Amino acid sequence: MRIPISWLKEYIECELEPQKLADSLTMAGLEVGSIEELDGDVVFDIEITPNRADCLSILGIAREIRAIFNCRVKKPIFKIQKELKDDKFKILIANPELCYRYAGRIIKGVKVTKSPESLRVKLERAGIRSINNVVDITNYVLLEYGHPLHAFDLDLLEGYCIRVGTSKSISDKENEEIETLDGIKRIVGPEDLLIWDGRRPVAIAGVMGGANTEVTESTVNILLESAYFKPESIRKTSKRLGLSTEASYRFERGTDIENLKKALDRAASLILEMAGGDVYEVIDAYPTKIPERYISFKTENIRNFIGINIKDEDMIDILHSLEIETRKDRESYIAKVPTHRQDLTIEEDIAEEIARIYGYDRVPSELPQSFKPVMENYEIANKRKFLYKIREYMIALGFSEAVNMSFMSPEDLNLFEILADDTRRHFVSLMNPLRQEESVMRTMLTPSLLRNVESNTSRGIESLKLFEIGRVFILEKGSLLPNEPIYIGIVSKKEDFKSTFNEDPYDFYALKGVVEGLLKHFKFDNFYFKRSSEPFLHLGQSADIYINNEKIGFIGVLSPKILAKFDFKTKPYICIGEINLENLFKIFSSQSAIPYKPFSNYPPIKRDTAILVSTDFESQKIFDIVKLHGNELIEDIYIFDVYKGKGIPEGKMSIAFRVTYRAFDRTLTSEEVDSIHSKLVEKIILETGSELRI
Amino acid sequence: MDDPLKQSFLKEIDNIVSFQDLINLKAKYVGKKGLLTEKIKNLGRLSSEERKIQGKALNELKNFIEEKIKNKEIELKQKEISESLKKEIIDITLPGKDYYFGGCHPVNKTLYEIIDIFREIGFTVEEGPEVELDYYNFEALNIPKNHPARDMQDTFYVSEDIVLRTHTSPVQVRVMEKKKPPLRFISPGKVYRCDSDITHTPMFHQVEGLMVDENIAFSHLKGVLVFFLQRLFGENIPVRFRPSFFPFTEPSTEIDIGCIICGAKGCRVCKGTGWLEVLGAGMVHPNVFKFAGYPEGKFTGFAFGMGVERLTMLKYGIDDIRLFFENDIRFLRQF
Ligand SMILES: [Zn+2]
Repeated sequence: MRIPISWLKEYIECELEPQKLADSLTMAGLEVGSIEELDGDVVFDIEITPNRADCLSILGIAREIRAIFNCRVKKPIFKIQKELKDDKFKILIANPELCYRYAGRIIKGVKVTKSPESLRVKLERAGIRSINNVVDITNYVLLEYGHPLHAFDLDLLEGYCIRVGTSKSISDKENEEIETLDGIKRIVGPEDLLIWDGRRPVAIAGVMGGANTEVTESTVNILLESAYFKPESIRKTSKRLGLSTEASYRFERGTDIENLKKALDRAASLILEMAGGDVYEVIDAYPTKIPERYISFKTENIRNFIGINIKDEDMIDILHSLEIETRKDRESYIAKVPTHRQDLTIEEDIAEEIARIYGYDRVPSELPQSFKPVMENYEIANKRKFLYKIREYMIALGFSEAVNMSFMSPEDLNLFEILADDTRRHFVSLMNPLRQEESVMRTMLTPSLLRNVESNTSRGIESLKLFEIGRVFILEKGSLLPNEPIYIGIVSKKEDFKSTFNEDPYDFYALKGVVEGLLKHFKFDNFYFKRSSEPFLHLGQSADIYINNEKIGFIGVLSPKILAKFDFKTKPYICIGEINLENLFKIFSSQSAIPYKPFSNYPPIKRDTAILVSTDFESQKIFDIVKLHGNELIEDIYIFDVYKGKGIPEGKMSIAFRVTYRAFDRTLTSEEVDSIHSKLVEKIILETGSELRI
Repeated sequence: MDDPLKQSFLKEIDNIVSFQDLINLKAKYVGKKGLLTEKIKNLGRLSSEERKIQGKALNELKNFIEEKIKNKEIELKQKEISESLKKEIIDITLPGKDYYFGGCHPVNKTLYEIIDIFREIGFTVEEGPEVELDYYNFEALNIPKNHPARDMQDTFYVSEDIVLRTHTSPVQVRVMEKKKPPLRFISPGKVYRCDSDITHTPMFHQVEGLMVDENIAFSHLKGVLVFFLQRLFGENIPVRFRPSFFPFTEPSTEIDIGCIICGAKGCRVCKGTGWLEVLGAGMVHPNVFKFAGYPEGKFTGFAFGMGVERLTMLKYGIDDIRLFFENDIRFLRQF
């Protein structure tokens, strides 16, 4: 709220330097967001928290200043000299549960003109545009007292009455149309509270007046309205219409029901002063009273709760300075809540009032004397450690950690050609997304990682390795909330040129090595890879990752078909992968400690063999055969060369493997190993249909 | 002993630079027909007395020469290795293989740092869903529907009753439903607000914390948070507590640190005030305990929350929040 200091000073009897005033208001909870110098005046922009409706006015701020600086407040002095009688005008409240009080004054014979300079300047500094003297006075009182008022052209009100009610209770129509003062025709719903004359709606209660009864320069007689509407109701209507006004902003935060007549009188007296006319007696319909509220509190509780040593008298002084009356009731005090402080309901509220005026900065900072032990949530703690290790592992291998928005577009699934029955299509949609591209919660991590690759590439980055650890969101049948498993997404990219080094860290085998290394890091030994059928991966260069016959993820070269749909100006070579870390962690935490395996220190004997196989041969077969028919003396087998080209027949390739033999109880002889090895090679050749390469 | 033979040997061996020369030298003096060998052979012609004296001297000389030659040979070998090493010199300024070192995300870096600081004073870590029931995100935190406080947080809705959590406070409610005090934990994670401009992104990270027990006071809130801020920003960082409003705490406070960009003199980042808001906190509202089913009046506690992006921006002088989600490798590799 904008507060011109010159205006504020009309109500406070002490000299305050603006910067000091701003600091003190800020430290009492009225944060001065900015201080602006304007034509010799100073304007504060104060951020009023939603609980402090009472501070949405100059007098409200003045009240706070009195409490902070212990100075006097001068309230406006005015008197209405003469009031005429009018028994004919009627105010009817059809929904007293929404409109607790509606007061009006008729003023006849006003002269509507431009406002005097002084009034215009005050309003403009406070951020309100001048209209005419009558409307300006209602706005002036709104800023002064914090109570919104409205003026109708009395002669345009039909039936010489005001009715307050929803269209549901007043007319039979589902929706009513009303043109508001801003010239926009608005449709209001059956639950929205309206002000009606004898025939039609003339204002949206607490939000904005109607154009049909607007006060203009031709207006002579007016009806001045000052009412109290239920905050929740005004808020609903304001939200529904997307229309927030100075009035609705205050009504939805709660206005002072007892003081609304004072604001009405203040406005009437100013109108008489500036626009002339005769004022009539107040017509006051007040069907619903807000009960008086009392809060019982113990000063000892407050001292302990805040952690300060403050005397009872000082606490009571603070409360009195805030217009909170108190009386002693045996061990306790009883505070009477002033009608403008509807936010105060419990002892803690009283504690806050005392603490903030006393000064938060005067409260000591102390760590509790001793901390009682609390139980760790081991499941969460272990998972966090697990994820942290994976993160460190990836970073150590040269991958950088990305964080993307948790959103995606449903189009991403089409881009990736995800099949109709895939669970990744079970996404969570947002009702109010900011953009179509961010309209659903992601079910995969790789689409946004690929976009990262795309933007990095467009900025000239050639080689790139990224990973992201984060949740995906999958709708679950029969469950209110989606499943939110944590995944890791991995992507590596290089441009289509030869690396300066022979070993290429960006191909399928590089990524496979990363994943194998990761799994071995956590001592998984029961994983294997199967050719993948993910539609977005290169069908010949991709694999699904399995542990215990459960698929936990995929890796592979991005299908050129998908790549073509991205906007790459270069020719990148991209590998991607995703692993369900939630499932991986479950398997990990169900593993018991793996017992130590003894090893032999007798010398090993190694035998190398190369075989010729057809180019579509899968080397896994060799390992399978060794596993099935292997001899207990075989310690290890690994493939050290795969070769096709010169010297190898077309359609064939050479696979060279090394087998290490070692016994636990003796030194093996060459002859013994030769015999075992040749039998093994024979078996391999037989079962794979290969031939020995000589 | 100034034997001329020894003198000439020493002179010659000094000039030897190759193995071949050394072999020749060896032959010349101690070879089958070497000068010294000849002399030893000729000993037989001498009297036994003379032979004894000369024989000893010649043998000593022979040992001396052989020792010298052996040392020279080692010396030449070492020299030869040194020469060949020189030929194997490579350009050590060429980059190492796969030099694309990885960086971590700065927000996560700060997040882990925050977790570590709170674990130091015995806070544990709790988590909860990001797609959350309206009940946990708002109602159980004393924010009913149609309350103006809902304006403080622009909310993404999945349905009437399901939202993307706007803070990690729902985790507090879920924990309180299951556990009785003493409670002392933080809940880090992603949160969502329907807001996007230069200073806001629709997703960001928060760490919230809760401490509940008997006799927890506002002064403890101050103690714990001052400890935290001094650990994160250094012992001399100025800290101030301002009254504020949150529906789920009473009293509520916002916490500022002295602007670390300008040294509290006033700059664009601190809007000229010299202060930067970094935390929101307060004493847990009794209604929140009521929702959790705790006995009335038995426990007190405090809650706090902070935006990790903001702290990260301040810590590293990052001036555009959007940098966090572009994932430019040149940015990530700096952390
Ligand atoms: Zn600054």
